[in-house]
Amino acid sequence: MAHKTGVVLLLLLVMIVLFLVNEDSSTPAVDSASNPIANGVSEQATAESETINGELRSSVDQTKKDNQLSPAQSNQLEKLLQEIESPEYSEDPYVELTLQSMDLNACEVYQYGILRGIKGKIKEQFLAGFQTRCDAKRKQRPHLLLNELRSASLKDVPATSHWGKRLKSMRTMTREEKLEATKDMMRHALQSQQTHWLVLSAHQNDGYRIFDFAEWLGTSDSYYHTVISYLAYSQLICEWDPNGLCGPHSNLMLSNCWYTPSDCGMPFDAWFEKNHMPGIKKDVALVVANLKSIGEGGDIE
Amino acid sequence: MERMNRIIVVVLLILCGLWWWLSQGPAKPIKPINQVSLKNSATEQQAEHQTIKQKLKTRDVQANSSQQNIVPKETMTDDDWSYLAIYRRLEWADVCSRYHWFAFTHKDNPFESYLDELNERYMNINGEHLNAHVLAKVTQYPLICERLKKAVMAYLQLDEIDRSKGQSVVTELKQLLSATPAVTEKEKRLKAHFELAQSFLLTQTEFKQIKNQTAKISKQEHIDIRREISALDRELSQLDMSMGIEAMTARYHALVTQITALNDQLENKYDFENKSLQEVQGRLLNQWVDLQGRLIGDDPDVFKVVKMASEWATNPLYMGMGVSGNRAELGIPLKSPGEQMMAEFGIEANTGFALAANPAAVLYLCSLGYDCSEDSPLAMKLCLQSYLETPAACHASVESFYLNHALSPNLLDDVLMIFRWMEDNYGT
Repeated sequence: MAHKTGVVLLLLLVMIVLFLVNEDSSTPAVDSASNPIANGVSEQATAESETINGELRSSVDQTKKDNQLSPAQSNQLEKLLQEIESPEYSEDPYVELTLQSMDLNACEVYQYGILRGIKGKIKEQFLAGFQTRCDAKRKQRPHLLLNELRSASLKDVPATSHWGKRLKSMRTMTREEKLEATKDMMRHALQSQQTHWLVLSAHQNDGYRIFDFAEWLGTSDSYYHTVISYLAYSQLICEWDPNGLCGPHSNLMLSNCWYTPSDCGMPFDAWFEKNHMPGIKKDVALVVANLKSIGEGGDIE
Repeated sequence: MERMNRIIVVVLLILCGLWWWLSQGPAKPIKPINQVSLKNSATEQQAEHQTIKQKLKTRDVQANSSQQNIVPKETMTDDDWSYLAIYRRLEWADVCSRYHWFAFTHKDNPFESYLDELNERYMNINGEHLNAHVLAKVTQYPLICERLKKAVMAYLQLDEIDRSKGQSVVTELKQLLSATPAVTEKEKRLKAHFELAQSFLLTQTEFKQIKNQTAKISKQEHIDIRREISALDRELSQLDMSMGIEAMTARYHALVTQITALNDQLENKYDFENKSLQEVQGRLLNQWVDLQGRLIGDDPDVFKVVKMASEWATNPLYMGMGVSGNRAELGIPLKSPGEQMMAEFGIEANTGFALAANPAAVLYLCSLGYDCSEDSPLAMKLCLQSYLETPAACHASVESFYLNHALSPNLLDDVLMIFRWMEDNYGT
């Protein structure tokens, strides 16, 4: 009897496993995390790890050959790759370097531009922490800093993951093609809860056109869509990665700091709660709920 | 028992099979979260908002009936050149300044060129031609503006209003307004406030001029510093590793420090201790305080003039919350009425607040009896500003546009909350 019940249970187990396998294969992500809630950077990075050193080496060699890189360009590429040997966001070098470039760019723009203008209005402690973070990034990645200062592209850096390749291919797409690719990338971000993909998708132009915000919010005002979608994406970033991409000196916090200097350094949730009217908060909650539904496989587009 | 077990296994297998088969299909569509379901405002507050909406809608229906402030369109070509009639023409001239400029720069057939341009812009965004409602409205626009210009030229006996000589319909009407006596009580009230606002604008200009005179560096020095910054920027973008990482990093820091110091020099070039500047700054502050004290009242024209001036706004659709970078650098320790209102709500993020404050101020203006009908200059301004995304702006009154078309239902709650605040604080 016990044996037969065991067979039944085993059959059920097989069915459940098959079901789950089937469910997994229906998501477009090839680099999604096994643990969908990616709390730490290392988990996210491991999740994308579809490459091994050998594979990366062959990609690099192939890129050098395909792009006919000069010795100096090859050397620059090698140096860039060395600077991300311990990735912070992703093991795909193109993705990692794109995000690190964004960080370095924010350091230049904020430290020597925007924040300098409001220096007297913000807390010294915040400014000091931000400067320390930026100085560390510059020191760790001097070649990438030079790349950023020259506004040089990362076209010679190989992308090794599926989504990294899509991100890289967006450089040459038309506006409409890029929008479609951004939509796919955003869906991937929401399904895998990988914060850096959310940041990269939201960062693309036309981020406010990714979903049918007019239908969701009941207004065709695209400026309003931009404001609400930015806040909704920010809320998800802060929910998924409170110490990394929403950390105290993250780009997101910097932009809030510039926007409301006297609230500089305030955690996102407290900042959002304090600085918005109830109706706007409801619209943001509505968009966040819809984004989460999409993440759970809902078709609400 | 054995048979029973077999049946259970078969049933479970069928159920699992069904479950598996169903899971293969497309994802079940989930309806977007219902906006209403997320609403958790107090019932009382919602009821109050309903009352406000009802009040505004009722006013919308009754618009154009018996309100003293509304001057029918035809007066623009008739013989009424009273203070109030000229003032109404000035309001249209403000809306028309866009077309008048276009006509100046497109002398060959400006009427058709203008419509073509609007149509093309719409086509680029929406992939189709302007619909009949929008087309009817925007076709009226150049006609009204041409008629206005002709009427002003005829009255002032001018052969041309020459933009190249700094003339415009707006400036001509402002001069005429200044020379025209106010006769009725309404006109006297409007003239007094309009002149205060104009005087405030003049003081702003004077402040900017004197500020420029106090610059600690000359124009040539300014140009030289800019050149120096460009050269350093160039060097920054040409840094390379040939000198070694440490030397490169040191050079980077040296260059950035130099650029920052030069930028500081440019930004802090004004002498705010200068006595003349302090005198005009004091005057500006007094005028601003005076204007802000005049927001309380029930005359819609006065409210519009005073609120726009107090927010340093040039567009009435943005008079709820002026967001001005220029104002911040004046060093004047006074908030605009919109900023004060925002502070009372405990908010500092002005751009988000302005999303609700601007429509609220316009709706408040309408509730005072200002002409917000479908044919009003304000509705025309709204149509020209919003036709690309919300074509309904071109066939609705201002109130109907905001209440029924432009705002998300949740944002409308914020708008009505601010509207209520304005009623409580500015109402008599």
